[in-house]
Amino acid sequence: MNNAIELTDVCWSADKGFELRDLTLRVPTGSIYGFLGPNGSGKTTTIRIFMGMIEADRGDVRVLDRPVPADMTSILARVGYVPERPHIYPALTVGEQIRYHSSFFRLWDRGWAEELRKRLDLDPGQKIARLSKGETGKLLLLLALAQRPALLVLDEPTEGLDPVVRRDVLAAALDYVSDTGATVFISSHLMHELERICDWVGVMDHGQVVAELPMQLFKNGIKRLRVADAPDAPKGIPFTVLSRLHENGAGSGETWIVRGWEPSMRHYFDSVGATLRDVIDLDLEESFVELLRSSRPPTSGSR
Amino acid sequence: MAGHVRGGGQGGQAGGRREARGERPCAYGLQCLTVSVNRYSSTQLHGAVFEGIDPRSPTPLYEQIAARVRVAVAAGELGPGDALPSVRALARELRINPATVVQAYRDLAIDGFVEIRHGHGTFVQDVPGFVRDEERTAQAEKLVRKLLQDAARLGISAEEIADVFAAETGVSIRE
Repeated sequence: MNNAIELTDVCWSADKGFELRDLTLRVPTGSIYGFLGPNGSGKTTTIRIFMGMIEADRGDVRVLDRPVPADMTSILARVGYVPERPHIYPALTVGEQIRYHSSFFRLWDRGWAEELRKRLDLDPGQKIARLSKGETGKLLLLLALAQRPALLVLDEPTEGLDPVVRRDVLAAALDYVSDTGATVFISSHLMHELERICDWVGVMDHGQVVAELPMQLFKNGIKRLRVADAPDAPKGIPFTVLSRLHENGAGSGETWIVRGWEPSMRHYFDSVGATLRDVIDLDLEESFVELLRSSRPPTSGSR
Repeated sequence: MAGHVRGGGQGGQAGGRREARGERPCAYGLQCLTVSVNRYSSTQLHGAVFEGIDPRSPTPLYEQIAARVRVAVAAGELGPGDALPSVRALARELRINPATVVQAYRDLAIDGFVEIRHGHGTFVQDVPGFVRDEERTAQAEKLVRKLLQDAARLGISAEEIADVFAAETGVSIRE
């Protein structure tokens, strides 16, 4: 099994015009996969499709090597899911919710659930309705981890949590991955967090996957170049030019945003009589913003 | 940026590190892990070895981690037999992917800096003096290249840098 999650040419459309078009996604087994995209780009819809909550109009969906939704019951037994919106009962206590949840999972690890509860500092007698946002986040993660999943799906798991809780939640998830090698699929807006823990990145925009590659390639492949004396229509460029802007002031200076960059490509500029003045590294957030800017059709009025 | 390349090593911190080495894994302040293992939020590796690892840097995290260990070995902060933190502990502390730590340790083992004893941990090897010297030279080169690159961006020439260097250190690097 090479991929824990596989979506191939998936289409889905809602009444109000939103759609996923020919969406293909590959989450390698054992990876920590960061799923990025602006609000409304289709991230949660994609998750709902491979979690079997809505059905694709077309295309092939497999999770842990089984077809979705046909084998959903056996898939869900091995997938820990922390949804965007909590699915727990306000009237129960923490202890009751844990027991209730455990009854659905054959692999439930009661001892570990108890250990996690202590580590995460959750009071078993506390009513769910009275939990803080941070405590709710910790409880949801506990529920997902104690079922000993082969795949952990986290939809905005740390959104709105304070930094201390966020660390606790991530530490618990990372401990689990250290011990088991489980695959983690994590959707988040917190780039700096993803930049640390993820080794794969998928980027969504307008219902499509616009990039999917190892984190290091994604980050190192997108660069800002400062170029002088470049021809207007250079030929045979070995990388992809995402955008090209004249620098302010006099002279022929330009800033290029490029994708697929490698250091050996500096020589290209000599061959067309241009000068490469500088290569500037971008972090994940900048790379992400530049990629989205270029993947969108230019609209009048922008820039 | 300068703060995260700890190439020099013979500064004030290094002395304290050396003293601590008598008690083995202490080099990272790892003893507090065993004390407070039941609470995630209080598990801190205070050691300077991995401080300031920068996920936003274009240098891959595994390379940064491996470089830190090489530097610490070259500077004598880590000596033969010292244990590196477990994969799990370091991944948790730095909040990074455990696979990243594994890759860093593997690279270090290939270079002969550490030995991975399965089920026991990862331990610093007895690294020959000339390898440690090479590592120090490599780090010095890296620092200087970075300095010159930053200077070029600001339009400052190598000569100007050399003059300031001489004024700061009393060591002249010009004829």
